Amino acid sequence: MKRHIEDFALLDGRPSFEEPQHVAQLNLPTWPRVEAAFRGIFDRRYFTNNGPLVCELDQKFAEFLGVNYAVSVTNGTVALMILAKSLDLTGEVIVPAFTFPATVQALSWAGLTPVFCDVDPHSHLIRVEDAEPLITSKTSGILGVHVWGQPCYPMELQELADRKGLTLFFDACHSVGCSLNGKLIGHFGSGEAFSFHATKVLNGVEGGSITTNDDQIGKRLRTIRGFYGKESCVPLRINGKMSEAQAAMALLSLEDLPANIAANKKKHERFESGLKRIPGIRLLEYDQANANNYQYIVIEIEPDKFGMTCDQLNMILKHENVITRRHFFPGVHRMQPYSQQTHAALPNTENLCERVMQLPLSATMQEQHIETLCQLIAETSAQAPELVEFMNKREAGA
Amino acid sequence: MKRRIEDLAFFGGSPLYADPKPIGQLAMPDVEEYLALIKQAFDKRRLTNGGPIVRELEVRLCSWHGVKHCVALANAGLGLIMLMQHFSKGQPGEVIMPSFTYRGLPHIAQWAGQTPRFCDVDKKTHTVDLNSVKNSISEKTTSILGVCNFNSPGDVEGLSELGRHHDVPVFFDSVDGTGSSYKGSLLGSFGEAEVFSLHATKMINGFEGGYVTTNNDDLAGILRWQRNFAIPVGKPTVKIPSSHVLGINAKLNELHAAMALLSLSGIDETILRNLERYEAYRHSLRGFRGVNLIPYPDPAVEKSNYRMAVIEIDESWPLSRDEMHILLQAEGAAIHPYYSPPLHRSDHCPPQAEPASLPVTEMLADRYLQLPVGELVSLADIRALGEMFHFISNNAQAIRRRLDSDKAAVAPPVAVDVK
Repeated sequence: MKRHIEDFALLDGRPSFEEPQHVAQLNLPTWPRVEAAFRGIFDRRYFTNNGPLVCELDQKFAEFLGVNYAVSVTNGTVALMILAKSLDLTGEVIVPAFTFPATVQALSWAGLTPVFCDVDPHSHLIRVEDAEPLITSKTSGILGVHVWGQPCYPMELQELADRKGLTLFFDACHSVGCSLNGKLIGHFGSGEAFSFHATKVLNGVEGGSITTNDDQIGKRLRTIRGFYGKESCVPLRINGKMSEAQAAMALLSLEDLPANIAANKKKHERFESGLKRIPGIRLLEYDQANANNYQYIVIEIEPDKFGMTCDQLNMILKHENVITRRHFFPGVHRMQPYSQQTHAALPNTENLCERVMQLPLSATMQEQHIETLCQLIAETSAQAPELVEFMNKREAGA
Repeated sequence: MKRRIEDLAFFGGSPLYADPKPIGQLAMPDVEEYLALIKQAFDKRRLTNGGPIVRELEVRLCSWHGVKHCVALANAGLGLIMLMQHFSKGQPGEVIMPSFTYRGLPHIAQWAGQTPRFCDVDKKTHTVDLNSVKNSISEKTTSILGVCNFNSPGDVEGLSELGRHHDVPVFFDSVDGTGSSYKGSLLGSFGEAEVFSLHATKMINGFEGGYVTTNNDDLAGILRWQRNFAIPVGKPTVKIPSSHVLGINAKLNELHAAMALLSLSGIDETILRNLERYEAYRHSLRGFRGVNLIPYPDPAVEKSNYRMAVIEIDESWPLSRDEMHILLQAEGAAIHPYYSPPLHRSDHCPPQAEPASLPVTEMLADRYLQLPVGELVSLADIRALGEMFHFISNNAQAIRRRLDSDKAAVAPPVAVDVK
C-alpha cells in the first residue's frame, strides 16, 4: 500500500515488484520438450535451408489457420518485406501511422512509398473512410494492421480495394489465434504477415510466417525467401529463411497456444476488474464476438481525469519495477526518414500516440501481481497532484 | 568400385555415395555444451533483443578478428542490405560488385534501392579487377562491394585506396574469407566494414546468422540502431549523416548466438580438419591432366580456412565441366558449378543493370566445379572421388560416346538447395 507519496519508489519507498515486469509474453515450452527437440536437430545435423522442422511448421501453421500456404521466415519484419514484394505493387501504399515502425519500413524496403492513414479513435484500426480519401492514381495497395489482434475491417477494406482495383494485405504480427466472425486472421486480403517474436503469444524466438490462400502468391513467397528456389519468375529474392532452432521452438509453442491464450484471457479479466474503478483509464476491450489472444493490456490515459500523463505514469511505474511500453509513440509519420515527408493530418493518431500504453502481461505474472499493479495505478491516480508536483520540482531542479 | 561405364550412376549404376555429400561445413559443437548454454537463456527467459549471449559473441568476435566493433545480425544478407542502404544515403544508385560471385548479391543491392553494376575479376584471385572497378565508377556509384574469395581476399588495399580516391565507400563480403588473412592480419578490419556469415554451411555455425565488423565508431552505432528498427530513443550520437537510415529487424537471437559462440571456440580444429580434407583432395587429384585444384595461399604467408575445394577443368581433360557436373552429381556428390553462370548472364541480373562485357568472368565461369566438403565428408570419401576421376579418365572416350547419344546429358545444370 502506498499511503503517502514517500511510499512510492520514485521517492524512497520500496518498489512494488522485486523483479522487473515486462510487456512481453515470454511463453516457454517445458524444458524436457525443448531439450528433446534440440537433440533431434543435432542428430539429424540439419540446421537450416528448408529443413524438416521448418517444413513441418509451414504445414502445421497452415493447418491451424486453415489456409493454403504458410511460409515460415526469419522474423515478422522480413515477413512483411517479402509479402510486400510478392504482390507486384508500385508507387504508393496506404498504411496507418499508428503501428510499429516495421510495418512501414517493410514497404520502404520493398521500394514502395507509404502514405499515412489515420485510424478509428476507438478501435485504433484504419477504416474505409480513413483510407478512401487517400487513394490516388499512384496508389496500388492498402496495408491494414490488425492492431492488438483486432481484425482491421477486412471485409469492408476488401470491398474498397476491389472497387478501386487495389491490392489489400495485412500486418498480422499481433494476431496469431485471432478471428473475425469465426474465421481466423490469416485468410484475409492477398496475404498476411505474422510475427513469432519471443515477446509474442507464439514464440519462435525470432521468426515469422506469411499466409495466403492464393496459389501463385504462395509459390512466390516460398521462392522469394531463399536464393536457391526453383521458380524463376519472382521479383526479388532474399535470405529470409527460418532456422530449425526457431521452427522447433515455434512448433512447441503452437502446441501450447490454446493454454497460453486461456491464461492470457484470465489475466486480462483480472486487469478489467482491477482497472475499471480508476478514473481516466480506459482498458481496450476486445470484441467478445471474435477470438483474441489477449496478449496485450492496452490502456488509454485521459490526463485530466487520471491526474497525470502517460509519460509521468511510466516514470512512476518504472521505479516500481514495472516496465511499460508506449506503443505506438511516436507515430511512424514522426520518425525518420518519414518525418520529412508531407502527409495528411492524423488527429486520431496524434491523440492515441499521446494516450495509449501497455501494461505488462507475461507468463510469469501471477494474479496477485495483477492485483498489486492495478492497486498501484489506483494509488498513483489518487496521489497524482503531489506526485506530479514532486516530478516537476525535481525536473526544474535538475 | 566402377568397372564398366554402366556402373556410373548417371548411366544407371548405384551411386558412389549412398547419402548425397554436402558442400557446407556443418560444424557441430557438443550437444551437451549447447543445451547447457541455452538453458541459461531459458532460465532468464531472455531469448533475443540483444541478450547476454549475443553480447558475448560480439566481444569474442572482435577479439578474434582484431577489430573494434562487431554487430551481430540475423543473417549476412541483411547486413549487406543495411550497409548498402546506409552508403546510398537513401538515394537510388549503383553498387559496383563482381559478376563472378554469390548469386544473392544482385538481389541484396535491389532491396537496398540500388542497381548492381557488374565488373570483371582478376584471372588468378577471382576478386574484382581494379581497372574494371575504376571504369565502372560514375556519379551513380554509391558503394563498392569487394568479395573475398576462399582462395584470396584480393587486392584489399588497392580497392580501398581506389574508393578513397573517388570518395566512394568500399566494403567487403568476407563470408568465404572467415579465418583467412590479408598481409598477415585476419580479415575483419578492412574497408569501411566487412560482412561475415554464421550460416550452418559456413565456418562458424550459428544455424542462421551473420555479423558486420568495422573500426568506424559511427558506422557501428548506426548499424546497432538500424538492426533494431532504428527506434528514435535508441538513436546514437554520430558525426555522419543518418537521417536516411531505414530501420529493420536484423537482430540475432540467443539460440543462434549460443551455437555460434561454441562453434567459434572450435574454429581452429575446424580449420585443421578442413586442411586435412584439402590435402586429401590434393593427393587424390594429383596427376590428372586438365584437373587443377585451386590452391590456397602459402601457409607461411597467409592464413586460410581451407573450407572449399574447387577444381578447374580445362581443355586437356577429355570431358567438359558440365559433363563432369552431371556425372558426379548423379554419384551423390552434391557438386555445383562454381559461380556459374556469371551473374550478369543469369536470371539474377535485373533488367535495369548496365549491360557488361566481362571477358575474364565469362572465361572463368565455364571452368570450375565445387567438390563436396565439410564435416560430413571423410578422407575415404575423397579418395573414392579420386578413384572416380581415375575411372573417368581411363574410360573417357566410351563415356563421351554414351553421353553424346544421350541428349538428356546436354540439359543445363540446375543449382539445388543443399543443407
